[in-house]
Amino acid sequence: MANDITRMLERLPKHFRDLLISRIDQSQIPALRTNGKVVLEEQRYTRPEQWKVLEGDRVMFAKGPNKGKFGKVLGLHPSSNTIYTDIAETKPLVIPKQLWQDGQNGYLIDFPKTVSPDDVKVVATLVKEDGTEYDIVAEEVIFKGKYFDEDYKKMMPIRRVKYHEHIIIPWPRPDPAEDCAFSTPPEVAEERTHSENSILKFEQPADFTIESLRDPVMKRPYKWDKQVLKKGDITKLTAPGMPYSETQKAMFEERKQIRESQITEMSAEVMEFIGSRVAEHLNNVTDPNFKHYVEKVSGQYRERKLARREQEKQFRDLQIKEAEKRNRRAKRANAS
Amino acid sequence: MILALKDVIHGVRAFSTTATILGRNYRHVVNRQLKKKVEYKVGDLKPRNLRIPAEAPKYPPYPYGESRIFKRSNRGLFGGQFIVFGNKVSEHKNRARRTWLPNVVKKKLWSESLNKLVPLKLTARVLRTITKEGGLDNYLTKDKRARIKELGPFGWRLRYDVLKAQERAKKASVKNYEVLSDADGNEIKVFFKGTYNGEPVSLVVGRRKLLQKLYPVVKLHTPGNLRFAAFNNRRKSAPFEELLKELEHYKVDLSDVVVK
Repeated sequence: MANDITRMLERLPKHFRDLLISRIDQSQIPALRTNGKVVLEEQRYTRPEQWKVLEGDRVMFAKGPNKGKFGKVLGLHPSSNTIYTDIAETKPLVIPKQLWQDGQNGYLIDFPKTVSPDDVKVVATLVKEDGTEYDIVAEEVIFKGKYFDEDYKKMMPIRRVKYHEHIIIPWPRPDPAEDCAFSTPPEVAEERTHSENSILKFEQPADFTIESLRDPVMKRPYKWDKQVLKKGDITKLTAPGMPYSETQKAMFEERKQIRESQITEMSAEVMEFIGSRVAEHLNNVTDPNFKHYVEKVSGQYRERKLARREQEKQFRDLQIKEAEKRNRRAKRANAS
Repeated sequence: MILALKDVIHGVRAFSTTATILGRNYRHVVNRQLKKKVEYKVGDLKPRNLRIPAEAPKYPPYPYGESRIFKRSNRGLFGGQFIVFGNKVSEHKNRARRTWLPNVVKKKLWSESLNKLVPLKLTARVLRTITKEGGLDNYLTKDKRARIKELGPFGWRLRYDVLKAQERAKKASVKNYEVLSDADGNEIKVFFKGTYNGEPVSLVVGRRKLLQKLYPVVKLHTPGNLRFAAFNNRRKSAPFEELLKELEHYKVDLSDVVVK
């Protein structure tokens, strides 16, 4: 059964899940039926510890019609957590022509039944001191320790016979994987082409800048990027203002008229009138101190003061020049 | 001192220690807590929690916000009246909690500006006020502060509708053309008098139809796809002289829209 269906099934309650699986099976042709042997994806075996046997292992059947017989594991069937063996029960199965294998020339085939790995026991070959080989069947196996397997290219658990942990049952050798045209040889893949000289210095050039590691032609803006408000956003955020009523408009008009009717600059006539009145008053002042004060604050006082100072300065300069001339003449008279 | 406490003690008149008798307090309206209004400008950093609505709001926000209690009052003209809680006191001074609701009535009132019957839920007190004011529009458009307080969110939106309708009506009443008679004695609407190709002409169409004549030629002479919105945006307040000059530049035939 397809993975997406099992993923969907996982979310359902068990009773409903079983019902649904049986219904799905009924709608399928016999060749594609699961016969209720669907294992949910999270319960499927993925590690060798779970399988206990791998492809190529020799096993003894402990249950079923083949009980007591020895066989070989031909493959694993992960979707049902079962294994294919070389001596297995078969069941006739009608295969539609679209699914025929190479060399098949009839609709009916004998399809081998799978066996649970719990129903078989691993057979190990041991060697006596005198060199003769003998087989043992492990009642139970346990896994202790790990090693890196060159053929599997990964860490594998060490399989031991339970209660006889010194007896190690080695994993069968897998079929060597064939390299295709696009495969990279391990020497090339493992070759170290770059090594940092210093952890303090960055080797990238100083002018190297990158704004973002994200795709620049991404369809939508990245959620956490800083965004600025555009004109359209502001339009959508601002509500219209309440229009002014007739009363308010009239009030604004009235205020405008008041503002316009107010005098901000003095006309020449008014200025003349005020000036004449002030001058008349000042001319009639008799107190000498007040007269002096008025003179002092009047605009012409400062000009007159400056003119007087200028005159005094010119007079002083003239005196200095005459004194210099006199000194020069006296010097010449002394020299001659 | 009382002036200093003006904002603290509501309903207290300055230079007086007694509560106001004539004015209403609008306690539930004035004391609402409003979210602080943030003014955004173009180019501002968009706050992460700011949601941009799909459409701009249709109405201005009510200055006093919506009521959190007695939410019926947000959907009708309640005149600042709210549910009141108190006790029913029996002869033996037993107190039983009770409430007083405003006298709410359903009415359809005619709006002169909107030219339709407006279905309303309003209190009898507000209905009386509307009668005194001389109609729904007068009630809604009055500018007194107390009126704004008692309008509520629903009344505020109605007020917007009414004022907008009045504005539109006023705008429509001002004609942008003068009615003259042509050589045959027929009445024609003259929108503008100007010169076209050195001859004095009178335009018998408005700006909209004139721009419709100009748009195809401008589009033809503009690189890219010139949309009418963009074209119109630039010319919607341009004076007629400029439009005529532009038409003259593109040599558009205006014989059907001008009278010499």
